[in-house]
Amino acid sequence: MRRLIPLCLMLAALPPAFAHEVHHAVEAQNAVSVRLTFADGQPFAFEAFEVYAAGSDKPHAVGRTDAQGRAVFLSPPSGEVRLRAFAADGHGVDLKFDPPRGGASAAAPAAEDRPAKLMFGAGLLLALFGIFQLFVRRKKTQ
Amino acid sequence: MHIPDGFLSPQTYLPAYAAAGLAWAWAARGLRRTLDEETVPRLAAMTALAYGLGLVMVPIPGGTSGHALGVAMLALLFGVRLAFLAYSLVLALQSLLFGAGGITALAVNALAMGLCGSLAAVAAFRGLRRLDETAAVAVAAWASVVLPGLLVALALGLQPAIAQREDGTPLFFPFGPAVTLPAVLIPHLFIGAGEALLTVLVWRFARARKWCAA
Repeated sequence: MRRLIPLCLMLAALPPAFAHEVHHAVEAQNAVSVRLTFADGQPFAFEAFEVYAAGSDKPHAVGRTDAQGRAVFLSPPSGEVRLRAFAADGHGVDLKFDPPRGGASAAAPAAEDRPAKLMFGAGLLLALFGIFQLFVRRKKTQ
Repeated sequence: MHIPDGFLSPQTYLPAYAAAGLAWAWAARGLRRTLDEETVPRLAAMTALAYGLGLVMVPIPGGTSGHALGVAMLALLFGVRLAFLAYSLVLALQSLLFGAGGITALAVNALAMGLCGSLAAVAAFRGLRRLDETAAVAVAAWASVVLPGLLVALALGLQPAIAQREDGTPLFFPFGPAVTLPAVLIPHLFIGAGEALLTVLVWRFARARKWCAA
């Protein structure tokens, strides 16, 4: 029995004796939520994301977007963050932004005017070909 | 299928830009000789169509969505060189205006979709046209989607092996080929079927007006 007491004390003093316990603490925090969607409005749901603090190549947070396509994380204390989100089929984003801090809300992003952009792009293409047509016509007249 | 910025390592996109530069120079050689007053407006219209098609998302089985490329119709109507140049322009505009595909990844996207997609379409069409012209157009269009899909999946899937942190975690795209190949290819088998249908319709319209080059 006398031999067992020091052995028990020694075992109790070893750090691995406590290592299997996982404690938890529920805390109210202000998280940043970034909503990711495809162009047709479908949520970029259940995909992997990584968050990096400015100037660091070690992830500050990793996780998966939720069913609504939201990447939710606690931002680092200061500076820009880089958010990378990936789907296995190659869709995803690599964004840099300054997250709202201290309970502030970010301004709602302006709605994307997709039809106007589409028309602008088509117009630009036709204009480029129109200019090229002038060169072709000049060649013919020379 | 458009690879965004930040997914490819410089070890991938810098050589791809060098290769694409050579390919763009090859495609642009003799451009003014190839094009005439009748071809330019047709090429402009078809390029604008490909640009629009690439931005229209269509639901496909499996709960995801995809879009047509339009590269096969460009290749069959105007040949590989013009299709490659026109589709590169489409990719650049889609990237700059909509963020569909990255600027760093433009060369890889252009080589995969613009060049290899066009080559696959023209090769399949020439190989099969003697059997049945409509079927040849359909297979050509399907191949013009599936081959680029394979190349994009490989380019993405090789990233974890190409660039890693000291602890071995990937620096760029994190999934290997065992994940990317089925994830990219399976939806594109369906997208290829839609592309085939669309290309046959455009091909018939164009053939009736004797626009075809292939």
